[in-house]
Amino acid sequence: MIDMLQNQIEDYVAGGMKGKEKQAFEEQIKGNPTLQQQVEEVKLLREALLRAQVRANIANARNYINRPKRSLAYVLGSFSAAAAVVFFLLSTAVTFSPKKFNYRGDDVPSSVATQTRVNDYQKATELVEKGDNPVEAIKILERLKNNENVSKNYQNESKWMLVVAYLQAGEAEKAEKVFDEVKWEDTGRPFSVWEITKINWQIFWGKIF
Amino acid sequence: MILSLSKHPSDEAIVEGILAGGRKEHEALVALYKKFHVSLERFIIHRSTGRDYAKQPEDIIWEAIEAFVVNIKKGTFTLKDATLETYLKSICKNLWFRYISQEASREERQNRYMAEWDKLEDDVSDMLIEKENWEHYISLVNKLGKNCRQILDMRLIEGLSMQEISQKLIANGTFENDQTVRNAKSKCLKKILELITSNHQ
Repeated sequence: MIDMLQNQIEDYVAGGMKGKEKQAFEEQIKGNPTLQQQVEEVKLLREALLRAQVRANIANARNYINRPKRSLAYVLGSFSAAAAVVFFLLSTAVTFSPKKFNYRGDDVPSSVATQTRVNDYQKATELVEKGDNPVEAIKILERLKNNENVSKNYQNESKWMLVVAYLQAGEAEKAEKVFDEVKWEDTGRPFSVWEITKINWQIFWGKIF
Repeated sequence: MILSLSKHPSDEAIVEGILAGGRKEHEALVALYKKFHVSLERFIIHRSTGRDYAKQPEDIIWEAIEAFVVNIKKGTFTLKDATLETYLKSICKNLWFRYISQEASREERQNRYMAEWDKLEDDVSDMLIEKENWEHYISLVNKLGKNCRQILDMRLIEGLSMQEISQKLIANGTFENDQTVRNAKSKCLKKILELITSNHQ
C-alpha cells in the first residue's frame, strides 16, 4: 500500500499521470496534508536532480567549447615535421642485402676465372656496403654486369649494386640508367620497397643538384 | 563532433534540442553558446566598470545559459515570452549587476549600482535568488552514488516506470533482478529525502 502510494507520488511529480487519474490524485492531495507534504518533498527532489543534471550538461558543453583546439599552424607544423623526418630518412644511405656469390654451390671446386669473379663480386659488395670508394666499386661492377660467364642472377645483383655505387659517386643519371634496366627484371630485388623508394628519391634529387 | 543542428540554428531548434536531452541537448548547448556568446560578452563588457573581477563575462554567460535551460526544462520559459537573445541578455544583466554590486564597496554600491539594481526585472531577480537557494540541494544530490542517481534520474526526470528502469539496469548488468532495483530505489529515495527535509525544516 505504501509502495503503491509512493509510486503514485513519483508518477505524479514526474508528469507520468494524466487525465482522470491525475485529477483524482490531485483531489486526494488537497484533502491530505501529509500526502501534500510528501508530494512537495518529491517535487523538491525532482528539481534538485534536474538542476544538478543541467549543471553537469553545462559543464560538459563548456569543457567541449574550451577544449584545446589544433590551430592551422599546429597542423601545418606537425605535417612539416613529419615530412622533414621522411625526407631525411629518404636521403640516408641505401641499405641492401646482396646474394652471397655461390655460383656452382659450396662443394663444387671452381676454376681460377670463376674464383676471380667471386673475389670481384665480394670486393664490390664490401666497397658498396662501406660506400667509401664507389669509383673502384663501379669499375668492378661494370665488368661483372655484362660478363656472360656470370649467371643472370648475379649480373642483376651487380646492376643493383651499381645503382647504389653510382648514387654514392654522385652520378644520378648513370644510376637511373642502370636502375631502369634492372628494375623490371624478374630475378628478385636485394632491396625492400622502402629502399627502392629511397633510390627513386635520391636519383630524382641527384639529377636536380 | 558533427553538429546535427545547422550552423545557424533557429531559437526553436535550440529549444527543441535542449528538451530532447542527451546528445542533442549537448549539441544545442554548444550551438546556443556559439550563436550568442559574442553579443552577450559585448553586452556585459559594455556594463562593466573596468575593474578586474574574479568572475569573467564568460562565467556569467554560462550561468545565464544554465538558468535558461532550467527554465526551459521546467516549462517556465517559452519562445512566446521573448527571443532567446533578449532573454539571455536579461539574465546576464541581472547576474552581472548582482555580482558586481556584491563585489563593490558600500559607497560604490549606493552611488552606482543600486540605481541599476532597481531597474532589474522582478521575475529574473526572483529566479536568481531562487538559484542561490538551490545550491545546497544540488550539492546533496551530487553526493548520491552513481546507481542511486541513475535510478532517481530515470524515475523522476525521464519519468520511466520501475519496470522500464529494471529492464534497462538488468540488461546492462548493473543489477541482478527487479527486486534489487526496487530495493535500491526505495533506499536511495529514503536517504535523499531525509537529507533534504532535515535541511528544509
